[in-house]
Amino acid sequence: MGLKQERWVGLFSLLPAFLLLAVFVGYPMFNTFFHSFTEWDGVTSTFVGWDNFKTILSNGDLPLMLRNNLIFLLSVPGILFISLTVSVLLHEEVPGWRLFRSVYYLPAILSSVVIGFLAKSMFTNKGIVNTLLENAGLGAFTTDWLNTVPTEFMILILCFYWQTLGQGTLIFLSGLSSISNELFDAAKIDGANWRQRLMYIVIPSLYPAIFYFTIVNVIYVFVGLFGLVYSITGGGPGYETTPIDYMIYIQAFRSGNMGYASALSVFLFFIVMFITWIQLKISKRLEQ
Amino acid sequence: MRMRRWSVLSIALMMLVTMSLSACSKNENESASTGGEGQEKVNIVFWNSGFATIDENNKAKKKEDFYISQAVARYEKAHPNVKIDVQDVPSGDELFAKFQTASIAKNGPDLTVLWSGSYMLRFKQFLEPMDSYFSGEERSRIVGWSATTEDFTADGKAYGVPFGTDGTFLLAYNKKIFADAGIDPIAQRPKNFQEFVAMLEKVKTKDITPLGLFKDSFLHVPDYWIAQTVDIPGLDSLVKGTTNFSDPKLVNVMKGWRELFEKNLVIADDSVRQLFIQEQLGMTVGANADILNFSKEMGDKVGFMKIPDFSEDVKIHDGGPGGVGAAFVVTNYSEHKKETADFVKFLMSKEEQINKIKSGEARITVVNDVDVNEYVSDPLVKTMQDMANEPSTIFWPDNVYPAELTSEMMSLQSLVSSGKMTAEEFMKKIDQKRDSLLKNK
Repeated sequence: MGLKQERWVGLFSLLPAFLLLAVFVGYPMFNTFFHSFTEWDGVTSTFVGWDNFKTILSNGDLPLMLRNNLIFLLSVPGILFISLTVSVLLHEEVPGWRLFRSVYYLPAILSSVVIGFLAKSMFTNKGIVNTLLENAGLGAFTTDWLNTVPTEFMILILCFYWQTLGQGTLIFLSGLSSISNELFDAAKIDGANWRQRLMYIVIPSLYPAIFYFTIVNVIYVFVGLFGLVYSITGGGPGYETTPIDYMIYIQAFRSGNMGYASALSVFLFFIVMFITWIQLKISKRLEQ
Repeated sequence: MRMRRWSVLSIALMMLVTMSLSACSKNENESASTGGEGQEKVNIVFWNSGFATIDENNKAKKKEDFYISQAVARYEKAHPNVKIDVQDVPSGDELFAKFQTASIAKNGPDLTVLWSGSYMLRFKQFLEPMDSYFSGEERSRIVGWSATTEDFTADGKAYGVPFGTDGTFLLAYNKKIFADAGIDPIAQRPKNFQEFVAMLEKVKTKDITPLGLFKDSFLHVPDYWIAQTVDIPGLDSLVKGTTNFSDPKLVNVMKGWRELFEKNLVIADDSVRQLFIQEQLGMTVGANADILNFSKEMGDKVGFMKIPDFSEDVKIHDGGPGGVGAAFVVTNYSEHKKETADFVKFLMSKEEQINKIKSGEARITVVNDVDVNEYVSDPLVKTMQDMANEPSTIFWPDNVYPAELTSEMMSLQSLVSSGKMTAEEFMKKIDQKRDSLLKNK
């Protein structure tokens, strides 16, 4: 097969995927961009120029939503640390590692809504958490977990960790399995202790996995929290736990402002693009 | 190579054709197909969020044991060319989102049940007006049309058909707990909010949480107090912006809402029904559907009272929110609008309303040619039907506000109950939201 022929075959092979992407990703994206400049109820749209974006910047909700996203963003290093620790322990085959490997992964297969409802039932006024506290003589520590901030954030982040731990552990375990045993043996012969092996062999070898995990979860806290927020706090009280993606839902499906919701989506798109760009830059620096 | 290149092309084309065909076949399934004897087979898709199809207390019950399955079977027998495809969907926000997206794509149902008033009118662009399908006579035997018309009048342009009535929303109380606290809430009915608080405080002395509310109970209690303070024309003025929510009288209502939480007289939790049945609460809210469940579970221990008046100066006394809270709607993109409207008429017919009541799934009705008292012996049901017909029962205020305003109220009200926002700030925010909605109208 000549080079020219190969090129054509390659192009045609990619064509179905490109078509599918264009239809199912490209068109909705273009549509959202277009409708962000309109007042749209889903059927009729009126061009309003930059009005939706001006409203986003001027109605006072944006700082609160960004604050909420920032709180979740700050929780990413925590789950990174926990996942890393758990995977290293599992890799070292601590007693019961086979059981723990399954136990940690189990929540990853549950949907956000299931995890959310489980957490909700645990933390209601008369739920198991308050009951246990009361039975343990710690009645003074009982609180209305789901109606107050910051306890609502605490529960949301707990659920996020619970859901993500399995995925993180899996990623890091696969990264750990690619590290040569000879390297560990050599380090042991040289007298490196567990901490030194972790700091100078394990973590540097896992940089690609750490970077991947971080970038995926940073994007997740901007675009994937909907399920948890919807099932646990409903964005409340007020808009105190409403991140941008949940506000998009409120505007589009509770208020019927689909044009405004589209503008918020575009706004979110650029925020995520910007953060990803920064992370890529940092990653390149680290590689160097 | 020529062969191979064409193979690749063929595969790509086949994939496209397959996708197109599968899309077409889906449409075919959802629309009408021709019957065997040349008669058009009509398939009506009904997104059911209003009729029971599962019994939480009896999981062994099959779908066929419920009223709607039996009614559909009767209808299909009488109309062999019609197939009613009943698909269960959750109600409220989930249904609204599903209905909105499906309607934009024009692949929603032929028929569904939406919350009435502004919730339903938000989707007006997808709804078939019902006026041409219902004669004056047919319309006159159903009450509550004002909940389905665009101007909230009984003879206005209707975008839905009254589905049923919520009766009057009540407070259910545990007689034993109240008696232990030395209270008879009926004989000593609180005349105003302060007396209501005093009553709840007495219950609290017995180490029982006095009142349990759902998280959305703003709609059941303070929203009603606002409505009873201003009356129905007053609600209209609030919506039109000729009066303000920040009126001191209405601000007081929100202050009262805050006070209930501040004094720890209430918990807001979606499990309050269970907690009430387990006798962990002195009182909770309940509607038409709850009264029999509470009685069944708690026997004589349960009593019912109307929500106390907020003050002695209110315009409507001794009432409650309620009325026609939901409506049948037919989509304007349905290919079988007439057949769907006919099915709705069938469900609203005298015979079917009687069947529904006899099945035990409906307790009261919105048709005026059926006397519930002939078919039920439970005095609670009779009382509820009487109360539903009282003029003091106010149509759900949130169904009157624009949906966006209700959404804002529901989002912000919990800030007042948690003390993060003052009553004045809340009402000002609602006024601002209302004004911005009016400006963009």
